[in-house]
Amino acid sequence: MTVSTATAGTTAAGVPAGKLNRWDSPWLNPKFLIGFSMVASVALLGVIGPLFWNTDLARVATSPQNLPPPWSAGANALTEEIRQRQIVADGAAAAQSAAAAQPPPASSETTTAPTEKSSLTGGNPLQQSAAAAPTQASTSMTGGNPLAGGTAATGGNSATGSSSVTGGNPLAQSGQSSPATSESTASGSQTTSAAVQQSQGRSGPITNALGFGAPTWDHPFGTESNGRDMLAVVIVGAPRSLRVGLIAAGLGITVGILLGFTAGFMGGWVDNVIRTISDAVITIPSLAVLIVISAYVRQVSVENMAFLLALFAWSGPTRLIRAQVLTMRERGYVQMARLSGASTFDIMFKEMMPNLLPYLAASFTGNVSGAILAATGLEALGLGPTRIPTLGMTIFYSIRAAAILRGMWWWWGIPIAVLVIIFTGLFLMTVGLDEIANPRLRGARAQ
Amino acid sequence: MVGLTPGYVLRRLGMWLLTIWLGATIIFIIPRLSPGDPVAAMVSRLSAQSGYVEGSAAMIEAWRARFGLDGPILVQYWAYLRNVITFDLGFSLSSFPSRVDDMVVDALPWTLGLLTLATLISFVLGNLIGALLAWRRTPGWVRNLLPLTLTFTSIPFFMFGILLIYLFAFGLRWFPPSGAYSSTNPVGFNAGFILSVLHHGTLPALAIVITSMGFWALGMRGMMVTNEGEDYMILAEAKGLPQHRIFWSYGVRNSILPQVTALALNLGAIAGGATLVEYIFAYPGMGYLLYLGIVNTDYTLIQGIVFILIVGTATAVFILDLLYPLIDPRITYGKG
Repeated sequence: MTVSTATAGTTAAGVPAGKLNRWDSPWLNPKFLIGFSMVASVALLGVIGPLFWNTDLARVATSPQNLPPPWSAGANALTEEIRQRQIVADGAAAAQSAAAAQPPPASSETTTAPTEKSSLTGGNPLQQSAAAAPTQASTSMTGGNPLAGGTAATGGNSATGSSSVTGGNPLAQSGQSSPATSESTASGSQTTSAAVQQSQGRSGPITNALGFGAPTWDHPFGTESNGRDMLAVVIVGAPRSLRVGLIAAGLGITVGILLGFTAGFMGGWVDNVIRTISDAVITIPSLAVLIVISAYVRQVSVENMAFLLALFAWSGPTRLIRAQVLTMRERGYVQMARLSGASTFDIMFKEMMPNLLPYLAASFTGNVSGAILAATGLEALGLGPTRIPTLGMTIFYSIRAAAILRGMWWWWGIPIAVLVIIFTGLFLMTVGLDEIANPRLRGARAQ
Repeated sequence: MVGLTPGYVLRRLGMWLLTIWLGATIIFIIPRLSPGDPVAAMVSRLSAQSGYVEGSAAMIEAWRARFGLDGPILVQYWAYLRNVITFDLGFSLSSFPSRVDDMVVDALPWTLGLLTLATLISFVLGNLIGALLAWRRTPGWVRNLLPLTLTFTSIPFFMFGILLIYLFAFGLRWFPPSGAYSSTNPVGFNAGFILSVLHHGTLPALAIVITSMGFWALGMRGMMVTNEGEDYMILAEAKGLPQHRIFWSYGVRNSILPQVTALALNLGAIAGGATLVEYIFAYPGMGYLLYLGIVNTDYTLIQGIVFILIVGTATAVFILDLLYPLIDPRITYGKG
């Protein structure tokens, strides 16, 4: 992301000096256009995504658990490792059925177990890629292995599930001792339920020591521990985030325009009251108050969430518009319009509004970004809509299941990547709109 | 001290009181707008969790006394305001015998330390970067390198925090993933403990600094660019003043004023973002306490923390407002 110099003057390139081209509009700001296309591409994903991908996969337990994306580094090695384990497990199953028929051949048991152990420690790509895997996780891995080696395939499967539980917990407990109790129980119940689902699922999928399955192109972005397909989650969740932001910012800016113009035009005590209250509201940490609200109203729909966010989204635009109206009121063209008998309404919307437009747009995109940030923050704390998958909710589940320390980067990384595209796009739009509104910022780029 | 007229201080004090009153009132109204009886719902949820709650009658008593839920709403409101003014935040519901005030007092230093330090570093660094970006005499290579520091500007604090944990705590294992100090060191004023605190605090602070720096840099750049066209800059050049003097005393000095206003306006948002960072890093400050309150549906704890957060940001803004006339003597001549 180049914030200054690099994108200089591409709009005006090749245009003879002094001659205005009709393409040479300030609105063709490269930052604005790039940002807009980033946001639009996310919106487009939500529109055309359902046409080529089954969005039902965003529901719980519709996919196998813990599959990494097939394009990720080490995916091939993981596939190979799981194929090896499949062979070993089949061999163990065969040996057990043979053991049921004949007296125990202890030699075959002892030969299969070491080979599996070596394939585990040697072939685990995630352990190798992470320069040094956490010691607790690796000890619990080795703790889980003898079980997986000694028993048959189905028993080994549930054992790896429990090993992922113990792999997650010690790290969660490495934080504060008293807070960790609630968190570890949360992640414990999460992963045990996953383990239960896993054992109930298809006839025992083979997983590696971390509980990851073999990646397939059936799930191009991988799946998480609740059996959701990540691509489907993104397709369903991304437009929801955008919609929350658009509704909240739209409401906020509408109220802001009304109050800002009222304050700027009427002056006197009305101005004082509006300005004082909007200043006070700006100071209050909106996220904190929103947390109180959503803690009481546990079931929040996407629309209600947007309304809640709008409660705090109006003060910024109000301040901005009031300040602009105050300076514009003294400008020549407004005085002229007033002298020629234009109504207040006409002065507002025909004379002032067009000049306010870049400011309004910049304030709007900034507000959309702020609203999405607040919504994602609430969801990441577990206070969002619970039934529908949203991006923030996905981050919440991944944190609760200790996905960061289990190496499941795709679980939290993919929603964050989509959100970063949205935020960066909105940010570029805001910066571009600032340049459109303030020509001096444009001039600086050309230096 | 010229600008600090009594009228100005009084106006700002009024603003401070108004903000706190508004915040307290919002917190008072929310439970009353929500459907159902919060006290009954809470106690039933609590006894469902643990089978039997010791002293639940006393808890209901405390809760009712705290809000005076039997009296008319205005009486309740008055009692609530009186409690809040004396920082009597009531009992915690999840860890009953302890009081919210005590829990907040334990958590507050961590948040204050992390947030103050991170915000200060980010403000200073960001403004410096922004000023250098706009300054005409910045060496070319610096000017080309600086935009790189703004790469992460638009990413929310806590998402960047997750990335940092993955890279530096899980992958490279340079820093611990959570907590504020290691349990091996005795808590106290000794080198081991302080080092451990710094070691644990680096990642959370980095998450805030790197992502918020760009905001200040962009604002500062805009102001510097605007200022460079002003007549007093040309005069300073013509007088032959040394460049560093023009940069600091003419450019930065005039451009920093709106940035201080912006800092006051954004403190609320920064505090909100930092609570999420603490939650991600399990940092034992207000944000993590708030998360625990949410997990345990501890309404008194949530409300107490949010009230303290509102008081904290309002106070910080108040202090900034009082400092403002000192750096900009013109402020009292206007309407303020």
